[in-house]
Amino acid sequence: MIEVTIQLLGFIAAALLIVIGIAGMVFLDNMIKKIIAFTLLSDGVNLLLVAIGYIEGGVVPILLPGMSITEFTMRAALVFPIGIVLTNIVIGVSTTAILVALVIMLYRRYGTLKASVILKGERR
Amino acid sequence: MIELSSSFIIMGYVMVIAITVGAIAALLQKDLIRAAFLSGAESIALAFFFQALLAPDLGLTQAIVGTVLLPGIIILGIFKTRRTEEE
Repeated sequence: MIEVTIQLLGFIAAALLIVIGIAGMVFLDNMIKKIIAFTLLSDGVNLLLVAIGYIEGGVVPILLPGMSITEFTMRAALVFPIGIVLTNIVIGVSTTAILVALVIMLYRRYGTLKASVILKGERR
Repeated sequence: MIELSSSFIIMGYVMVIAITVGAIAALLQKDLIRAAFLSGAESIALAFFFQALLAPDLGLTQAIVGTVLLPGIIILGIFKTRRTEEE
């Protein structure tokens, strides 16, 4: 029997988010729904990275007064995935904005949001 | 008295269920604005999960960005195109 920790729950939630995101991007027909599924996939990858950096019984990586350096380096959660994910959240916003702008241009040209109609290439 | 870690695990179960239900419900809506708000609800559950995984700065950033900024951008796009999903 595996002991349930918050890290294991994080991995489960990340796997569910990634599966839901990929399935939504592949099987849904609406372009806005594809964008929402893309944000779900991005959230799943972020959660996977943060769950890798978790240490059982650790502390938040902030050096408080009264804590020695050796104890801090032994117990603090990994800082590198946190920095990577903080960058990825901010980049994800601009990526979503560009995707929304492209979908608006596609709607002006083709008059629909369905990907199956847009792929046929019939202009309005 | 409940320990801090066990209360985090209880909160983790609730957050896994909230993330999964929010994500699936966001992708099954016919109304696109409702779908955007449901993705925001999924994102606030994810912010609680970041808080439990010892990354509070990511929790604050995800709570602001995923709940206000991303649904706002998507809703702007919906207003420029069409609100309901066509058959």
